[in-house]
Amino acid sequence: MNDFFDSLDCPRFEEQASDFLEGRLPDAAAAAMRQHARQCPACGRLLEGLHSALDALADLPMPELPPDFIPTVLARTSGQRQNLAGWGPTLRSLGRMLWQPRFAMGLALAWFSLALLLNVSGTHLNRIHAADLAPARWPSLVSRTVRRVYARGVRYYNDLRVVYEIQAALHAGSRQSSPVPPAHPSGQSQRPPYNWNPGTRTLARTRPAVPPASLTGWSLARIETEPDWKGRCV
Amino acid sequence: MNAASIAARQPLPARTFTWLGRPAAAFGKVADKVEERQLVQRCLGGEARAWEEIVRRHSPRLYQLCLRFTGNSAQAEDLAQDALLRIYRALTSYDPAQGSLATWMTALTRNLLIDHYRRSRLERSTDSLDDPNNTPPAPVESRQRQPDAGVWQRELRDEVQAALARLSPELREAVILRDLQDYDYKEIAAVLRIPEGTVKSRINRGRIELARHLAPRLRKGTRML
Repeated sequence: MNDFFDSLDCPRFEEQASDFLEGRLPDAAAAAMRQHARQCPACGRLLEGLHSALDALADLPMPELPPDFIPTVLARTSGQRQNLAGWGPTLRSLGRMLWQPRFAMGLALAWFSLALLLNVSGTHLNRIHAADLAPARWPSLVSRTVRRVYARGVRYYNDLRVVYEIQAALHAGSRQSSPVPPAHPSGQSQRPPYNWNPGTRTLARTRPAVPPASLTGWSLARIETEPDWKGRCV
Repeated sequence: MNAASIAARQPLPARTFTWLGRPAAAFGKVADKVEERQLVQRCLGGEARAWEEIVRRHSPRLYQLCLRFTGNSAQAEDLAQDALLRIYRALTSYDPAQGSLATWMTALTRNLLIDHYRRSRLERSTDSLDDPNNTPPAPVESRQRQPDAGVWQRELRDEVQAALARLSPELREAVILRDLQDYDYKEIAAVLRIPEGTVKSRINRGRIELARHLAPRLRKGTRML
């Protein structure tokens, strides 16, 4: 034990401080610690601070559990909450969850997305009958809905004025760049002009009811095989 | 109180405990281990009352551990509940031969706390100092002296909690387990899965660091009293 006494410098004192405070050191070593604390002001202050800190820790009160703590734990584990505390805590926790702004925003976005999908697909909830809920009808319902949405999209696209204007500009460009066919002997143009129909918002060429008898075979073949001619006037 | 009087003091007396606040070590020593084992067996057998008894018996201690580690009551509540949920799911893996139920439960809770600490490390590093919950206590010297002993005690408790939060997680958990939950070194070594010598060193270093953080306040309190 003399070795301990002789080698008791400040770092060693610091290492043994907790053991000394807890009474874990043998008597001789504890006596050496006491003597060092009396002689060394820094180690004395360290010991004093340690004792005060441990007293302060011991004075910390045991925290009280939140009132819903145990019922919540039981509800999340064995599901015995109802037996212990009734529905009150369950409803309160549910209300707390629903009261979160994040949850409300998510709910609103989900509702908006659902309404948008139903609107686009043309589904009306008040027109759904009990027979529509039979699984055997689901494929046909889905197929019909898909076709309806597709047709509506195509119709909308075809009705766009800008589409016709772009097509007209393309045709005009292609007419200017294509070689001019030989003039008809009668002086009539072999390509009828585009006419704008404001009712249907379509551009159409007026096809002559009866091809002129003087048309040559070349011009007849061109009229019949020209794609835009067939697409617009038939 | 001077160094000589401190040095002349007797070692710390054994603490007395209330039932709910009784530390795990005392519980493990006093409670009948057979009863504890039977309680676990009844719980595993589907008896809800047994699980409720375990929850009621250990919740205050686990909540205290989480509260003193995080310093935030809301986080402590969530973490303690998550810990009990994890304990409930893992109860089949509890082996009484490896240690007391309290030690096993504390080890699981401690793992959860460390996971939470690692997850929130980045958040803490970017936390604004404007957040009042993260603002360290003002320097003691800058505060006005409060003559009311009750107010002083409350402030001291807040500062002890703040000083705990300033310790590294390794030192903090060791000090909490030893000085607030009264585990012995062997049990702490089992909870933290480190050698007893390391436990001893961490407890000593944690206490010294805590004392240095609290020194201005405690000196002021000594002058006041």
